[in-house]
Amino acid sequence: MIREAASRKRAARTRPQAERQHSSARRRRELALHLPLALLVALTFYPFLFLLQTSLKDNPQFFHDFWGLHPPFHWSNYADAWGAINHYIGNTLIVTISTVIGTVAVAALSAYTFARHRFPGREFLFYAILSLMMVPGVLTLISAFMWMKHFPLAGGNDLWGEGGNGLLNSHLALILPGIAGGQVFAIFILRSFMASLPEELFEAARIDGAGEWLLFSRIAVPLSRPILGTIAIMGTLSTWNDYVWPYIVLSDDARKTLSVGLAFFRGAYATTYGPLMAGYVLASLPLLVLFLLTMRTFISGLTSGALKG
Amino acid sequence: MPCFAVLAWRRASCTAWVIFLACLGLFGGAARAETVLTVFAQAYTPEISTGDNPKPLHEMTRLAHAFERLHPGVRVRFLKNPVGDYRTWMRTQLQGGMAPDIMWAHSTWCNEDAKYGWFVNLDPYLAQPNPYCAPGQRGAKRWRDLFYVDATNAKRAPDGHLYALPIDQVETAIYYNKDLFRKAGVEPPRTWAEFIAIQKRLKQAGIIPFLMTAQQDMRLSWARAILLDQLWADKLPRMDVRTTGAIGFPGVDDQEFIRAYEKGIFSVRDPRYREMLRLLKEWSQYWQPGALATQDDRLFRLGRAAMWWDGSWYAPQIARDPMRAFEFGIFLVPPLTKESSPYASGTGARGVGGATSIQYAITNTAVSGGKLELAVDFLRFLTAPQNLGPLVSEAGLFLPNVPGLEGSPLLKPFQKVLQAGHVRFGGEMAGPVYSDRSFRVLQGYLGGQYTEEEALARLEKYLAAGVDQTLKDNAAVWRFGNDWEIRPAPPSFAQAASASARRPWGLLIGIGIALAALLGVTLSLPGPRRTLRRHKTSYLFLLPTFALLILFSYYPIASALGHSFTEWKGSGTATFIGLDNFREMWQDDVLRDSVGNMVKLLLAGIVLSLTVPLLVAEMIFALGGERARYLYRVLFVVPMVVPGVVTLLIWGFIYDNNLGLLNHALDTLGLGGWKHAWLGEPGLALYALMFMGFPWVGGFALLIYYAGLQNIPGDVFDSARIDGATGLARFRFVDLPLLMGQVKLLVVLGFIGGLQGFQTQLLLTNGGPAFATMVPGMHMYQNAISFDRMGYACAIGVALFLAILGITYLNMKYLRSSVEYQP
Repeated sequence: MIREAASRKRAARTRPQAERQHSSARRRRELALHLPLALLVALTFYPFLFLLQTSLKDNPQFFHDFWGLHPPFHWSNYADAWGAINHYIGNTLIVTISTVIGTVAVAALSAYTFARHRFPGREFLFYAILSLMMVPGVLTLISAFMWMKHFPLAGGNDLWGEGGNGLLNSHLALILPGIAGGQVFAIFILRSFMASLPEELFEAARIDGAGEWLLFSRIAVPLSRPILGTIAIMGTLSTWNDYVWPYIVLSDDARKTLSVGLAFFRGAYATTYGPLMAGYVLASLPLLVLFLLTMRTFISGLTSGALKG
Repeated sequence: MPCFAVLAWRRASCTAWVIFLACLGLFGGAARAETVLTVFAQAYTPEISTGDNPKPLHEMTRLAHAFERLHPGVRVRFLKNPVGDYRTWMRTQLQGGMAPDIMWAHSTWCNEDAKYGWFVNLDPYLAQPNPYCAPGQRGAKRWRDLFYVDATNAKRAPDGHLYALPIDQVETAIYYNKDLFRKAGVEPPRTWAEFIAIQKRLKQAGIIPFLMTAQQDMRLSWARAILLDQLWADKLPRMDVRTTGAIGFPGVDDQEFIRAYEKGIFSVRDPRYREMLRLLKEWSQYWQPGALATQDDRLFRLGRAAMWWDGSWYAPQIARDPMRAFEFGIFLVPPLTKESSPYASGTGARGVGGATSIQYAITNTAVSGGKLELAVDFLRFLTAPQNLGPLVSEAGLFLPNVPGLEGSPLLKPFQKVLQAGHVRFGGEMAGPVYSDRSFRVLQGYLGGQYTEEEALARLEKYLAAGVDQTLKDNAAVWRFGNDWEIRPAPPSFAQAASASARRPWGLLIGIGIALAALLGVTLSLPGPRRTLRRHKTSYLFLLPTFALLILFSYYPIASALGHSFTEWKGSGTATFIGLDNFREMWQDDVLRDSVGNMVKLLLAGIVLSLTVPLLVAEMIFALGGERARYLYRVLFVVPMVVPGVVTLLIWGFIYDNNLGLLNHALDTLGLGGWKHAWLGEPGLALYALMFMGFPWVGGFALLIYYAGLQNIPGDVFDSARIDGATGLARFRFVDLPLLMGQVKLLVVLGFIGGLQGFQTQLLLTNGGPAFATMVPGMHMYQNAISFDRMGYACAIGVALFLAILGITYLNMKYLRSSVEYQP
């Protein structure tokens, strides 16, 4: 049944190409699509180009020639930026990868349950999760910090949270609250997508004797790949760039994350824009790789035809 | 055989590791025997490149090594800390007992926090000799004699004690473009009247006379201070009643100001105050258009504006700019004379700076770690003239707070201000809320939004509230006799305050017991137990989510909810005040304005962020080749890596009135008449913010729509085509109904984000001009972070929360998607 869906998928992928050969009207329409799309891409893409060009300037060039790019190019900005973040990049990788994988795993399980199960308290529990998105973070910062400090049985604390520094100054203070907070958004989006999957697929598998875990792992998750990828992107972006929480929670220089390293370029009286932008470019490279990979999961016609099976 | 080799190698490497770790342990043990003094030195932090000092400094390292040689077994470690969000960092570290032993603490913050017992009162130590000063020299007998007296005393806390030791001073002056002055045939002015006259001449010559950055309050408050100080001189003796003693300094302190206000010596209705407003308005016609939204110095740097008012820290920046195409000079703000105003006192203009740049405080960490004496000794060592001089000169941003020491040669002109002394009465001192409100009223007045009468009425109202709040905040240390006569203060904060940190246990145990009881009761009933057994898988699947939420998310939120019924500063004790915060919200006119702004922004934002990405997703989906689709997806998503601050920076430069791309384009097209100060005009700023983000192709929304389109089974499209539904008809009758789930999702997320959001305002408009772009999220943020009114901020947060919850519930209920599976 699943295999059949996959073969249909391949068929679906070749379908539009076959159509295109049919008419030249189609080709004209393609052009009519490409033109506005290219314009929109250019406009949307501009900030990224700006980032690249500014990363090669020094401050006088930034102020005197904001929009243009003229020699001399300051490649040394990249060396400065690398010097500022290279100690921290490993930490950011550890924190981000753990947080995102944890978030996606936990959220997928809950989202599936909310989308396809009926059980008492479903609405209430869903709103109990969703409402977490509605509390402004600036209000919870101080109490969350004190809670990390007094987290029981961690970092030298006793059962009552006294005696040590709790989870402070450890990556767990980023990862665990990161998963707890990040899953909320993920559950909300995933639930909606998993709810829109055709019930016939699940019905058929149930008849074949598949248990809940199989339904989840073999049907719901594979069919939600594009949206899981989107969630991974959003989670990575927010963890990767998070600044205030890592800044206040980590005190050891060896544990800090790269957004803290980049913040040094913003002084109290002046900002060195070139190295700052170079730092942003360097920090975005792993993200770009992730994007290239994730965008491959969006393959058209994923479920087309599966219903007839 | 090779297998064994690997095994043997592994064993060997294991042994090596064990030995290595053991060594590490030994050295670690040895390292622990020495005392480590941790210091956050802010602008003087050595060996790191920062925005303020791109070339790393070394002087602090040298001093630390010299200090370590004098104290065997002691190591000084400098913390690397960014200054963004430093106030929040400082707060949390001090409250958690994690702060460095010595830290930079701006005197305003330090004096606010002193009441929690986080800082050491330095007065007893300052009265003792500083052994690092040469015998017979200043400071050798009494440490405090080293420093400028008035500037240092002005930094005392409300209890009269000094908690933050200012090691340097910052000064301001007017930088001017000598070439433009020559072109217009003018000279640096000697009086305020000449100052205005030369600006008139410059303007006639087609030159922008003065670059004013009034998006933030700093320069407007400088201007107000300089003018008020001279206009008020005749009334000063009646206000500045404490001029001697440890607390006294020539100048009005907070307590003296409150006294003057209550006794009616100070009023914003005073003709002198109106005179200040008039002079300011007269001057403002020579500022560049759009001054209320300007944030940077580019107009001066590019040689377009003739003058720019800035601090000593600007001197190295402008002097070392290789692209500067003009000669610059520095003059001090000229004095007001009778020519300009009948109230001019002839005192001369005084400095607006003072010891406000780098101050070091000794923290509770040093006390609990038994390092108090050592920390004091390090500060003594640091401030000894032979050490302080080179330290302050190397950074080149400020002047040493020790008479006789000169800073960097570039800062020579600023030395004169130190001799002239500082502003003695620079405006109302009624707490952070009033400072912000009065700045906004001033913006509104200068921008033509308020008449003088309207401005004064608003100021009066805000000032009364500010004075009440200030009196309440300082009730523990301020004593007034009959007729507001100032009485001596009780013992200092540090002794009065209990240094106990707040433990989350009370609330947590309460929540725990409540949950356990609820669970116990439910499980003891046969019905629920049966339900639980029947839906075991569902609950099991939800377990990880709720375990994490209960451990990490619900406590901070419960705390915020609970504090909305209290008066709380974010630290210290919270006083239960019932519904007072909510009652105050009802009368809060800033909140009312900001809700209106938010609704407009929100609706525009939701419409744009819903429609454009949908259009783009449909366009990409309609493309023939998978390769082209992949390419467009990637290209639209890549800009998501650009941090929001960079995008906002670009938009700021697009909207800038004088150098912005938009106005430049209008000029080129011959539409010069349509030019505007987009962010600087109250009627336009909000719409400029709405337009931002053009062309509004949000990567996230695009991906959501695209995934939704993919989820539509191919057969549906096939049958639609057979039925003759193509193009718009298919979009209307097939795609849109099937995408309602995605639309719902994005509407809900749009509301959640839009109701809370304020990042754009914070960076681009500061909520202004006046209150034109203020939104509830920013109002809440200001109360929480800048105003120290955490309780009130929590109440706003709760109101926002309820609003969002209600809207979300309605959205989820009525925006039903036809394709969603309803179990």
